[in-house]
Amino acid sequence: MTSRYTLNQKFRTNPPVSGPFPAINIGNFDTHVLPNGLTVIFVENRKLPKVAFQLIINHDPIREGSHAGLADLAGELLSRGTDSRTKAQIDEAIDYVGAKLQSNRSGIFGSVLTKYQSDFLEIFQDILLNASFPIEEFNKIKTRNKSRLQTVRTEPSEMAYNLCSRVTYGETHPYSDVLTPETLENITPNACKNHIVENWRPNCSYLAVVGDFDKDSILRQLDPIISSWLPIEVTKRKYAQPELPEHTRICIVDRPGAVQSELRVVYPIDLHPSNPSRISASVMNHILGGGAFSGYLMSNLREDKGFTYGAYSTLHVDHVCAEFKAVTSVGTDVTVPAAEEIFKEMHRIRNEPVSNEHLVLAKNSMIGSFARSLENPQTLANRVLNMLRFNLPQDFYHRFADNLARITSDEIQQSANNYIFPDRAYLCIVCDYEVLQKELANSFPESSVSRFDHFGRPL
Amino acid sequence: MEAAAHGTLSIQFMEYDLDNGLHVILHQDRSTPIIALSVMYHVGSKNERSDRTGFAHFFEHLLFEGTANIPRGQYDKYVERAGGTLNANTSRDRTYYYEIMPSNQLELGLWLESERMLHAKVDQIGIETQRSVVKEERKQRYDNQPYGTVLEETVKRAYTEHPYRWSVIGSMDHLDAATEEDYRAFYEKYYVPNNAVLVIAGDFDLDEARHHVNRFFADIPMGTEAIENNRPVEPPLSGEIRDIVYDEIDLPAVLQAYRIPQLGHPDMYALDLISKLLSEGESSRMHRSLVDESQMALAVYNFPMMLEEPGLMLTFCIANMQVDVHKLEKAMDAEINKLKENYISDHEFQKLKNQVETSFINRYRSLTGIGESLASYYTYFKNTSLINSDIKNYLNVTIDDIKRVSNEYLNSSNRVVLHYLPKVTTSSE
Repeated sequence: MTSRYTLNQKFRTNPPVSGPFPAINIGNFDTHVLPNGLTVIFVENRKLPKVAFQLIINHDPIREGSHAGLADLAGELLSRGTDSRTKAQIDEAIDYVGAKLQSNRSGIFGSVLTKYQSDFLEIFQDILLNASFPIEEFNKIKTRNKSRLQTVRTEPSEMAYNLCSRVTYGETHPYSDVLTPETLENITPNACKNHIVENWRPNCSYLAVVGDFDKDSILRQLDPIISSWLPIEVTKRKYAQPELPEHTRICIVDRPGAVQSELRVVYPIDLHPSNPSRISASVMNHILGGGAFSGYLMSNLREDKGFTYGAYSTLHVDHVCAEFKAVTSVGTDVTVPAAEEIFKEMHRIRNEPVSNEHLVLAKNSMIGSFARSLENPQTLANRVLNMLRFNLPQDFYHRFADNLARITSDEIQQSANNYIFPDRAYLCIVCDYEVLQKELANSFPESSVSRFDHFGRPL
Repeated sequence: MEAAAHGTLSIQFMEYDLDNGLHVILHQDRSTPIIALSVMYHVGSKNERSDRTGFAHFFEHLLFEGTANIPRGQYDKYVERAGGTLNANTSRDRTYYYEIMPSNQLELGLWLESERMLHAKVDQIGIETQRSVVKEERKQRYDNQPYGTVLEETVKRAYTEHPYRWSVIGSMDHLDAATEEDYRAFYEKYYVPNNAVLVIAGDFDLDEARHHVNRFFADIPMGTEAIENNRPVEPPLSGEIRDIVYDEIDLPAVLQAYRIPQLGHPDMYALDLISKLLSEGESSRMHRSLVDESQMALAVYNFPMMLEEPGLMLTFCIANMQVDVHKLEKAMDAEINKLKENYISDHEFQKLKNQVETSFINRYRSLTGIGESLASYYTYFKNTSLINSDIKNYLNVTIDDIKRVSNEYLNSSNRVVLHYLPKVTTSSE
């Protein structure tokens, strides 16, 4: 297809020149530590007449092993009945005012129109303080999870997720816990209750309040939490950093007849949120596997080869254990070439200095994304939370864009050599193994192949 | 609840037409230094030839390839280098392109979209590559996804005449068969200023924006080909259509799709409320009775497809383990029958209205959301100010309407029922 008109418009030939990047204003917040140790983060924004509440429980993760799923079930069960309200009554009260409320392993989350804030806070606090962990609700959650677990066999991306978790973190790390029908059977309502009682404490928690509200009236309405939610010492738990595999290992979940393969290249890294090299690492990952279409992986696997609809990588910074993961879904026939191309791009970013064009694009794109994120007031609350949880410098986010802009091509290559390990990764594939077995063995003769079930358990 | 409650939340905008027919909508909001810029073309899969299904969506992919002034593979790079992001999507009725940029990049965004409208350029390499990308997209979203084909399987039974009978992603064979001439014709007919609306939302100066819009778009020639508006009228179903689809799944599912009217029809507001009543929130009727109380269903979804021409209201339930699909379907029917036989209570009715109020407020959360609403109200209704007044149409629905509309549309003779069943017998590992 060629151009339809040739207008005499010389000014079109080149892109318009833009003015300077607009100033970024991070926004204002306020924090209060309540007498019971709960830290409250206030972010006011009156654009919409609503307010959001996030209660984040921040205890160290717990290795669950044979009880994998306990924290998930406990979190979910929490909002399913209190001493004075049934689940149906809680649901009705929340839906009636058009609000949203849910609890999960990380805390309690919800939002409501400001005019119904007190109705909402009453329920919110009732759940936290007076949860009754009813057996019949526990059984419902269990039944639903049984059904859901049965569907894992047909959910390729979930199988890939399970496989990655299990192989990356090894047997003793909490991030390797995967719910299975067997671990589900080991969980009881009483264990759920104990988990909450022992770990959900104000002294290791944060409450973020975001939106259109009056601070004093919120603090007044939080009185039940302040007076009845008591601090206790919560057990500290530390975990050894999981090792990288000696050589790249191929990990397979067989899915006969699959039209696509789920492909992951994954391994653990040590990159705490307070580590200053996280900024260069995130730029490096953006060049490798971020961006809309510009990352090495996307340009190669999608825009050049047409192997896939999308190919990305993430470099997840974490205070317990960080992780690198490259992700794509590709046609069965191009699975092996796609894996080879991913490794090729990983080698490339280690060995080849990044071009100025790629570097500028990645940095600008990330600074722009930072600016866009400020539209949502929740972003600021999340950032304050990170600052507090991980002891980031007070000006971390104020200086973020400047620090990012200063990253050099040398630092990118340095970072790639610190965090990108194409020869010591887990190549996890959910695929029709019979079709691919020979080709995999020929292309990766050095790599051992292990097989797993759809919960990531070794076969 | 009074509509006056929204007085403070009205969206201010200005709109006008260029001489070439391009409709322009400007919404200024200077609270964050970004702009959301978008173009909605009034072309979707319903404009496709029946031997070229999937073409509108495929075309959307091609329009990232380049233009007379933008080499292949550079379009997105301009946006990212400027600190922006971009994407596009295609529906049955329209195709939507957008960039979200820092506010210093208004001109760049306008240049990019005007290039796309004026002289997009696609070579054979681009066509081949995007063809295989779309084939993988189809596998990822439809074929390799449990229940991924449910909409496609539904529409091909719910329609026999109207182009809503095929899916947006369409047939891969048709994409293979497309020729150079097909691309040229599609572009010349639909990607013209008089078939598009340009929306700029965010932090910009109104006069400057008008000036630049004019500079980049005013000279783009108008399209000269008439855009057909005479698609076949779909005859009523002559009775319930039932079928079984075998899929790579473990838990069976039931899909019920009722034929409903088009966007803007007064009954659509009641139908939208009915779908909320049935499945929005844990206390909604189907959720409470099927998921929570009887535990027959693992999940319940319910939504009306709000289309420009008569659409469908879908109810989809995934059965819990060891639940018979026929029993599940009976339980779904029981909920529908309650709507037809009894009036809903004042309390429940008030809950619905409170939910509507919240959902309208949530629409204003982001500039991109506001931009898309403005573009859609113009494209479908030629009435942009509905962004502020449409909520009244919901609040005007009465308890009588809920019952009347249920009786009018939610009948077995007016629906398609599909049972999704596992292809293979499940092993109990």
